[in-house]
Formats: sequence, C-alpha cells, structure tokens
Amino acid sequence: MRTKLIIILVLIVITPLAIVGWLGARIVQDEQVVLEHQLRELMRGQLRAVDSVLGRSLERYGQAVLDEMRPFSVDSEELRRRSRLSPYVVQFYVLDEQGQLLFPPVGTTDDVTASERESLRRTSQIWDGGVLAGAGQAAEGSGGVAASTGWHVWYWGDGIQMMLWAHDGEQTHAAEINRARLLADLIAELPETDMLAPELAEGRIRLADSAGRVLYQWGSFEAGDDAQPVAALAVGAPLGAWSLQYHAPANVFGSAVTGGFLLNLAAALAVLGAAVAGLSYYFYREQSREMHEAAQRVSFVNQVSHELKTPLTNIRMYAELLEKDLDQPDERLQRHLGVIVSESQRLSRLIGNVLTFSRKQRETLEVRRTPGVVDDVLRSVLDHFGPALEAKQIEVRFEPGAGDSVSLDADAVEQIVGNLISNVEKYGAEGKRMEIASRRHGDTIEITVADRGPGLPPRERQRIFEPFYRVSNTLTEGVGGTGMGLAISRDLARLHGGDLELLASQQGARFRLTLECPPVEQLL
Amino acid sequence: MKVLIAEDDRNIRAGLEEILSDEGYETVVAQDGTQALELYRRESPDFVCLDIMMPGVNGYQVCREIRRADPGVPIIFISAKSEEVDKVLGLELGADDFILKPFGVREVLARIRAVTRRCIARDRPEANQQSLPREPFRMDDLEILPAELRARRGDQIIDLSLRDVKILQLLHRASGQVVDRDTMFDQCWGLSHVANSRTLDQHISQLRKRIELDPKQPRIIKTVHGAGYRYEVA
Repeated sequence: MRTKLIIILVLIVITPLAIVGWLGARIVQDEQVVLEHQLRELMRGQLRAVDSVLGRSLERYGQAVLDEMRPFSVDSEELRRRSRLSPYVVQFYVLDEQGQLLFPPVGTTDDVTASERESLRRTSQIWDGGVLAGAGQAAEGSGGVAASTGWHVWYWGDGIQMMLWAHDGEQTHAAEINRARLLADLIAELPETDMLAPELAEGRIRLADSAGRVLYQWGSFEAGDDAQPVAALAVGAPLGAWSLQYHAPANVFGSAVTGGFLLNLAAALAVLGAAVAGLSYYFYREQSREMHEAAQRVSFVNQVSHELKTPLTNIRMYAELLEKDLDQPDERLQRHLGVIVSESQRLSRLIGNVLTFSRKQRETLEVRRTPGVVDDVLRSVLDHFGPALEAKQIEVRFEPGAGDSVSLDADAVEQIVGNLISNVEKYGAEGKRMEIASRRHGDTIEITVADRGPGLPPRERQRIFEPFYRVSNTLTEGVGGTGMGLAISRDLARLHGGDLELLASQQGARFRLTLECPPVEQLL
Repeated sequence: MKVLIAEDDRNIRAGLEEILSDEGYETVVAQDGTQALELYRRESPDFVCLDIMMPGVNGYQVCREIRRADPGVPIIFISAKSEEVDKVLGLELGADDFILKPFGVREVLARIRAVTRRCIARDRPEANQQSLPREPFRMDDLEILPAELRARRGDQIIDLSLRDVKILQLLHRASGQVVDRDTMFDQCWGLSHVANSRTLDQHISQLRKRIELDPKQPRIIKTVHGAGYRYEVA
C-alpha cells in the first residue's frame, strides 16, 4: 500500500513536470521556427535592398549607354569611333527592320575590322537566331515609340554577356556592354563592410555569377568558398543569372532562439517541481497519518471485539443456563431471558461480522474446511433463531436435502445463513413465514432462504451486497444494522467456491446461497 | 466419561463445568496450562476442552504435550481468537474441534456430543468411560441409539446427552421395575454428586419434553410417587 502510494505521488510530481517540460520544448521549437522565419525574412529583405541598389546602378549604366548611342547613327565610321571612345560599350550594332545586320558590315571582309569580326563571332547566336529582329516590330506594335529599349542577355565564354538595344522606328541599335566596367560600376555602389540591419552584422553577403563564382562580398563573417548560403536571392533582370547570397555562422538561428528562454523555462520547471513535490509530500504525510489512524482504529475495533467476546460468552451462556433451569415456566421470566439470549446472539453476530470484515480488509479472510453436515449447521442456526423468530410469529419451514457429511467451513456457513435469517427477522417479519431448503447437485450445495415480506425492488438487487449499503426506504427506518452482513456473506460464499444471490421473486426476498462442498474423501 | 476443562476465566470455567456435568460428564477443571497438564496426567480424562490464551503455559503448548502422551485423546479448543491462522495452528496441532467465543449452550452441547460420539466409536479401554452399551434398544415407539447419542421416532431424530442415554439405559434394563432416586443418582450422576431430588426431577422433566409425545401423559418415563421412576413395557 505504501509503495503504491509512493509511486502515485512520484507520478503526481513527474507528470506535471513532464507536461510543462514538453509544452516548453514545443514552445521553444515553435519560437525557433518563428524566429528563424523572421531572420530569413530579414536576410531576404537585406538581399532585396542590395538587389535594388544593383537595379538602380544598372539603370544608370543603361542610361549612360543610351546616351552614347544617341543620336542614333548608321554610319560605320561614327559607330567605330564611339566604340573606341566608350568606356561602357565594347561594340555597337545596327539592324534593319528585317533584322538584318547593317553594322558591322557583314560579308564584305574589307569593311570589317578584326575586333568587329571577333564581336560578330561572339554575338553570332543572336543574329543567326534573329533574336533582336522582333524587338523593333514589338516596339512598333506597342505604340512605335522611338526610344523603346531593352536588355538582351546571352551566354558566351565564361559567363553572361549583355546587350542594350533601342529602336528608333526604322533600325534597331544595340550596344554590347563592357562587362568589366559594368561590374566595377555595380560594385562601386555596394557597401564595403556594413550591413543594413544590425541583426545581420555577423553575416556576409556575396554576389555570385551564373557559375557560382564570387564577384564581390562584404561583411564580417568569413565564409568558406563552398559554404552554403543561409538565404539567397536571384538578382533582378537582366542579371537574373547572378545571385545574392547571405552567409552566416552555423548557430545563427540556435543562438538567437534559445539562450534566456531555456533558462527561464528551466527555472520555471524547477519552481513548479519544488511546489508539486512539496504538495505531494504534504499529502503523503497526511495520507500516511490517516492510514496509520485508520489502522489504529481497525486494530482498536478488532481488539475491542475480541475483548467483548468473553463477557458476552458469559452473558449468553448463563442466560441460556438460567432459561434451561426454569422448571416451572414463568412466562414473564422466560420472555426476559429470551431477550437477553437473543440480544446476546445478535451481539455475537455483529462482532462476528465486524471481525470478518476486518479480516477481509486485511486480506486475511479465508475458509477452513472440515467435515460437516450442512443440514446440521442449518438446524443449529435455526435453533439459535428459534426464540426470536417465534417472538415475531414467523413460521419456519425447513426442507433439508443436502445429504451426508461434506467438506465445508461450518462457521462460515453459519455466519452466512445467520445473516440471512437475521434479515428475515428484521425486514421480512410481516410475511410471517420463512422457508429454508437445502439441495445438493454434485459437489455444489444450494441453500435457499425465502420470506414473504415486502421484498426488494430490482434496482437494489446488486447494491445490497455493497459494504455499508442499506436500502433507504421504510424498510430500514428504525431497524438497526451495519450494512455489512450481506457484503461479507457474499465474500464468504465466493471464498467457499460459490455465490450469494438475490433471486427474482413475486413476493418477499429470496436468497440463493451456493457452496462448493466436495465429498469428505477429497479433503483427506 | 471424564472431561478436563482448562479455562482461565472463572465464570466461563464454572459455566462449562455446569453444562458438562448436566450432560452427564465427570469434570475436572484447571485455571491455567500448568494445572491442566498436571490434571491430565493425574486424571486421564476422556477428552479435553482447552482455552488457548491462558497465563503461563498456553493452550497450544498444553495440546502439544497431551498429543505427545496420547495422540488419540480428543481435544476441543475454546477461544476468542477467530483468526484463520489460529484455527489452522490449532487443527494442525491435532485439535479435534474449535468452539469460538462467544458461544451458547447449544453450540457447546452439539460439539461436545459430536466428540463424545467419536469417543464411543473409539471405545478407549484405558479411559474413564464406564462401559456404555452401544447396542440400540427400543422403549415404546422410541428407538435409542447410544453410540450416536440420539433417539429416533419415525423420521424424527432427537439428540440425547450422555446422561439421558444412561437414564434410559437404566430404566430399560429395569423394565417394569421401579428405579429409585438414589440408584438413579448414583448410576447416572456419579458418587461425586450430592443427591438432589430436585436436580433429578428437573432433568427427567426436561428429558420427557424431548422424548415423550405428551410429556404430561408420559409413556416412557413414568413417575412412581414416593419411590422413583419406571419404564413399563406395553
């Protein structure tokens, strides 16, 4: 019992701690996810800011190139001169309305310089595919604005090449961008070390080209060449093949989320654990004290019950002897003695029930079989109750049929049948009749005790066998009883391999007691 | 038939002595275990009634000693200790029966008679029981079964005490003749009892209630005024 109690108390302490700990861990996890998400958003925001810087820089670059393209010219010498002088453009190109290359002049080897030949080779996929042929048509279709411009990007050599085109209504003019100058101009716009957000000060931003090569990087964190970015963003068109990457230390999320939160959680768990443990200890001490007091009470009742037996024996024995000694029947004296005898018997049954219940509580109740005749036991019990039943004018009909000696606990059977007859005396007296019959079926003895009193409603049939339960109606009002008799009687019957049941009956209460009583030979 | 009663409570001891004497037993009483062993050795009783909780030597120890001397003598334990373990211990020590306090006269009588039947069945030659004829005999419509301490009339079974059987045997042997009070007292109560006609008359009156169909018009035990009692064969 004590071990069970300790286990329960330990569970009481551990369970809330486990639940709170689990909830805390879930909160930490959720917090981690939220913070990680927020941090990633911050990183992406940082990268978007950088991207917009790049976008603006590219726009300015494009404007500078357009300025060099204007006024639009188809004159080869003029275009060659512009190419030589321009820091932004490597080569100018001009296409007619059909997309045919007007400059550099194709097909006439004398007019094309070596540099132009190289340029044409570099851009052949554009001209062969007629990629820019549709640019002028599209511009005309959409309103025919002379200054319609656009970027064209293609791959050549070790990366992307860029071309800015503009349509003047007749021809398409294109300028191949000086990559080195463009990159230098872009980088010049980017910060050297500082981050926009202070939370990202520990990181590093990289601008990488289409092959993943780092074009430029800044920030305090030293990331390896093959390090994976925490966040990445493709640079806006036309540099969509480039990417912006944010690199940070591996614990950038962990250290941001846990720390103080876990410390607080641990402190809260410790306080909760201490409080629950304290409460549990208090309840354990209270429970132990109550159990100790209950054990003392049981022990006291047990002791008192035993101590009552000797004086009770004397009262009962001498009353019976006195009754026997009356040679001249004196009705009044007989009646008085009858009361003493029957009340002492009642007290005996009560003490017997208290002690049996006490043994049941201490789990020491058992049956002890010896050879005996069931009908003799029944006769003996009826004999005890004779005067009491007679006083209440209850006619007894006994039909013995249990046969010869069997293996049984006569005291247990006497106690069970005594309780049943006592109930008839208390509750069924108005029926004026009690029937007791015994039968034997193989190793089973069946005893029925029936009265013709008011009986019991069906809903009470099981409850009457519960300890201390008493039927709450006029039947029990003014009638004494502890509510233990039927409970311990059923326990004893079951220990004896049988049962005690209340049968359905049209009138009165009808109990059936079954007992497993093997022949005496099996006992030996 | 001699019975040793060992019980430390004075009143219970006296009550048991009275019940057993009334039944026709010769009694010797001890108030503790040591005295019980002493009396057992001196008196050689036919059976023993032992209280368990006695000062000094307790009932279990007395039982063990008696069993060592005579494994066959019937022993009945009388106790307030109803715990199963007590019963088991008592029965394992060789007790024949248990009478649990609080007990009534009828219960004591039933258990004593059961043990007496076993004693008669064993017919111990060394014991104090006077030769009690065991053969059944008839008196009017009543069949007396001495070995069972019972009488039978048709389907009706009547329990008899040892003394009842002795009285009926005495009257049956002297069928038709008057048995005077002194003879009956000597033969059925024993010399140790002081002759008391009131005791005798009371006993006969109680016996008639149980064995006669009409106790006021007795057919088995008839009173011969101023002389004694007689059984007349029809």
